[in-house]
Amino acid sequence: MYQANFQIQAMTAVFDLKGHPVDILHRLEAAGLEPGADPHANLQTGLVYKVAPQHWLVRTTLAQETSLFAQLTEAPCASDTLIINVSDAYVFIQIDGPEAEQMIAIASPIDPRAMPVGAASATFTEVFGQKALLIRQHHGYEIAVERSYCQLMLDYFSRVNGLAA
Amino acid sequence: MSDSRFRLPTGGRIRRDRPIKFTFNGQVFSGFEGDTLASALLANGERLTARSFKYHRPRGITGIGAEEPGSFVELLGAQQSGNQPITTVPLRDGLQARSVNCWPSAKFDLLAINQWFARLLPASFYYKTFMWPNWHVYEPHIRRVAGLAHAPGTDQVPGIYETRYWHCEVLVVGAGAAGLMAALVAGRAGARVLLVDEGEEPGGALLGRRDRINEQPALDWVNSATAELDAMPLVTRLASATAWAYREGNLVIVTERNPTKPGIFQRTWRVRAGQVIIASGAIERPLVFHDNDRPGVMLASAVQGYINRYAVLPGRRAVLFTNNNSAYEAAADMLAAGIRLTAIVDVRPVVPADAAALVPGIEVLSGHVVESTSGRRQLNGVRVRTLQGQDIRLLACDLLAVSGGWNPLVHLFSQSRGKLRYDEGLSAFVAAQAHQASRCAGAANACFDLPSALHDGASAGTAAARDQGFVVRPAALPTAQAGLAPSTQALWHVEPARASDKAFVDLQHDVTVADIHLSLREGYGAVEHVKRYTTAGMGIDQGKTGNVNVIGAIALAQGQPLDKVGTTTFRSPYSPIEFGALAGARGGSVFLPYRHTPITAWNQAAGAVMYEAGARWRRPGYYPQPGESFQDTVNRESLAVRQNVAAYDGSPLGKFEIKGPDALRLLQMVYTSDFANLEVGMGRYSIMLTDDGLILDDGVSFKLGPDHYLMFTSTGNADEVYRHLEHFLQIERPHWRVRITPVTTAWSNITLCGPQAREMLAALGTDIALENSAFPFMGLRLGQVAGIPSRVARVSFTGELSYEINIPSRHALQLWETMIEVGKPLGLTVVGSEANHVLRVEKGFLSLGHEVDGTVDPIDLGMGWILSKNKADYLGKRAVMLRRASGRPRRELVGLLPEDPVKLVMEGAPITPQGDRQASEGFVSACVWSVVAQRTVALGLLTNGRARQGETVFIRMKDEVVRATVTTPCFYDPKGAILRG
Repeated sequence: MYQANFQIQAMTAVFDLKGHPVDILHRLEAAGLEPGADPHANLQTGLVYKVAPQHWLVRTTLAQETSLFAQLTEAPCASDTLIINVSDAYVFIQIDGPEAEQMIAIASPIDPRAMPVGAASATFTEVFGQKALLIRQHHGYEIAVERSYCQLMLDYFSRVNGLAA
Repeated sequence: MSDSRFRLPTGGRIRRDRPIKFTFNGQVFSGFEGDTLASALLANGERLTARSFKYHRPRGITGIGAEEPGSFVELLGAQQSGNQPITTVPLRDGLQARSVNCWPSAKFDLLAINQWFARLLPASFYYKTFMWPNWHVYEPHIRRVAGLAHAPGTDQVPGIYETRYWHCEVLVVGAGAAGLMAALVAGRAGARVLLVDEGEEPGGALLGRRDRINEQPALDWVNSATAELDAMPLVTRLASATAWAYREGNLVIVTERNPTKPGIFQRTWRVRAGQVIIASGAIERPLVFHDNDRPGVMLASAVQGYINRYAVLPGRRAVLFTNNNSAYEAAADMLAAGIRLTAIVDVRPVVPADAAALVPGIEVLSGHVVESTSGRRQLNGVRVRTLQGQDIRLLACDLLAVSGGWNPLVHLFSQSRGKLRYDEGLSAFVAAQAHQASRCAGAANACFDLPSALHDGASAGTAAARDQGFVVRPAALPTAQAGLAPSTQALWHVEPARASDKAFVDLQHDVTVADIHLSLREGYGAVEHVKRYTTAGMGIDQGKTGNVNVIGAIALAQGQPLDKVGTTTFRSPYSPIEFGALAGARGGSVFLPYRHTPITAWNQAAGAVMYEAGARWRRPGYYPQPGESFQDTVNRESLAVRQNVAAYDGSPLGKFEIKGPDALRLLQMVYTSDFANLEVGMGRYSIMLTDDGLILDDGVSFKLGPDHYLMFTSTGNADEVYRHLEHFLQIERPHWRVRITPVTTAWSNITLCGPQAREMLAALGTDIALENSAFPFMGLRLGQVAGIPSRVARVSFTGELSYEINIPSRHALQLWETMIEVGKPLGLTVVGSEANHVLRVEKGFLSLGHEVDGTVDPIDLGMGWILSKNKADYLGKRAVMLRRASGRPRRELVGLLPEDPVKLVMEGAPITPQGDRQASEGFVSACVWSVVAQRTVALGLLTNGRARQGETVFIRMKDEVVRATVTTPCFYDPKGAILRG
């Protein structure tokens, strides 16, 4: 019905970083990462999503999971810095196609047109009533949902696209 | 098939080259594309189209749009739907419709007998009658008689329902002259505009008139305006789309009835707008007099619309009854169409000359009123007199056009909590003060003539765009000829000749002036009370045509101005909306959200019976084998745990990592236990209380390192616990340095339990020392299990030796399948939540939702030991102590042994003194067949239960009373030696 595709992405590494910005930004810099604003950043070099005032997600390929996590946690942590490997918590779903925006308009109350493209746009919002990370990309969107909701999301996308009864 | 003898040979916006056949009340008719069901029926000479709600009086078509109060139809066939205003149903091939409120048909309605008992059915009769022996004896019959359309017999529709969100800088409601102008101005300024209109085509009132704009037919301008709007990339235009609710935060809900996107049946838009322009027009008021509901009585603007838009004559010989100027423009169009206009009855003593000039040669009876109508199923005449009751004349006619003035459509404005004021000159309520970023424009803003509507729309568009930060360049306005100046003399109803005369103020609910007066006499004088007493304005039409006349009738009777009476609350939906359009895609498989673990697919393939077990997780209840009953399966699985080894998918358990210098302070504050001396690698079970000292959750927290903890919560309350923790930190202790990260889905949990659990874990291969001394009960060890990095916790929900293996979720299925293979020689059994339930009841472990029902504290459950006396404070402490200080008896956790050892008692069954039907003294929280006791055992909450051990209590079931002995709430290993072994 809509010219949009949705597809589960291969598993990626995701780290959840919470702490004082001075400590976190220092760690990101030491690991060669630049928070969100860098439009040239990609999964290979590592993406940084700033999702709250003292909360970041770092995403990279699964191949770099161990090494990047080690880099991020190498320096002694500030006592209230919490860095957790949450790769297993999330599933990323790619939504693209000429009418990808229509799918987001159905799924989420957010205004996707107000989002910049790229990692800087990543924000937690609601997708089909569940908490999800939404990222606007050049050719569509990516959402990350808790792994447990993955099937529900696929079910919903199929239904709104007229693919399921 | 009927003919179309009331169709004009030319004109209208119908497609005469596209005839359409349709069925109404079983009879086949024809019409044209562009018709509505109403216009097509009128063209075919059908006047009696429905019956009224209460008295089953004959009803015809009164309006031309969403305001229709008299005729509703039920759609049949593929687009089955109930209670559609006949005026808003687009004609399409194969349309099947039937009248509502009648049996067997509108023309021959047996229920019309109600008219003979009308004196027995005044307003609110149902509050006063049918009380003996019980209202419910009569209710089904009354509902059957009074009911409108049938509920659709299927949920199948041609396409899908969709709901969506939309954001725009300017939302314009209504695509009439003012709305189009507003959208043009805002769109030209570069604003993101959404223009919605409930009509199938834009133009609003212009569609039913012969106005001119820029020296051209007004609809040419409409076409050029919409073409310009459609070419703007930031403008979205919806047709057949009704804005029916205005919520906080400039959220307007719009339902599109005929989306252009193929495959979508109806679509609801939740629109967040920076600015809202309400250009929804105005509705003409009917006039109220005896028998004003007879088929053939129609709003003057509707008559005008049927002539000009649909080329239909609603009658051939007409009388026009008015109190204002606008009806003269309608009269002029009636004359032009060839309708014989017998007379114009005008309540005003003097009719303005420019109005009278529009109807040369027509008798104008100024200072006159229509007292009543005559006819049976259709109008055949009216009785006219002077306002003072003299000079009575009978005028033959088959059409009475009425105009009682105009009500700006302020429904949405009022829903947005905007203030209204009563305008004496217009005899109408108008928008006064906005509460949100909204403004009315055009007729909705009481700018009734075309030039002022265009100007007002442009002004609204300019203001809205500027408020959104856009620069608006001045542009020339289209030119239009001014119409007649508004001149209205309020007439709320014509005094009836006899007390029994029925003058309807609300046609939909059969509410008469006499009903209003009855309400006032009985002391229901406030407008909201009158509404509820009489049900005026509570129908499907939401009182669009009737409400102001109701207010006028109250004001007249009470001798006070209308603004003192006030209006009732304008409620959504403005027009009927289908439930499917609200639900959208949320139906079928996604009707309720669900969550899967990595092992869900395996469980399903293994034949597990799956259902929700808290927090939307679909979990295996039990794994039946061929030939097994439910109880057989649960017994087998329970015994496997007690006698051998079993595995359970415990992934949904809530898990949080907590770190920071204040992490311990947080645990100390939110849990009742003392965590101060907890060593790294060890955990502690505790209870979390609400501020009022009641149990919120229970769980085990382990110390991972200095200032670093891993908290396990219940499955069902994990989200609530997270909210509780974050709320406490963000609101109560924002200065505490502690971070929380939920890791529930990052880590899956496979639980091994049973006497052979240690052997099973060893068989999987692990580098963790498993002997009791190295890995005691309540310990947590990190290591490899089957080559997978794991966190293994020694806790138990079953009372058996138990290991909870937590692994990254990506490895969960691999470990599970490995375990199944490795476990075969050991007789490993997979078990579901039903067996877990049996085992925890045997052990007397609490379960949220069973023993913990939101009313109990730890002492009630015999867990006073968990309330630390070492800590100065924790959440809920004071509340628990205060509750105890009251000395009032409490319900306490007890064990219950039914006298009949095979009797299963329903969970939730009340315990009452002697089993009598009186206030309960407790209830059964759980009852299972115990595989170790070989009898049923139960848990319950009983008033002063701990002091009543050995006593017999009485459990009330639906058909019997079950006697049970009170005992301790633990039926297995009371000292806990097994789980620590």
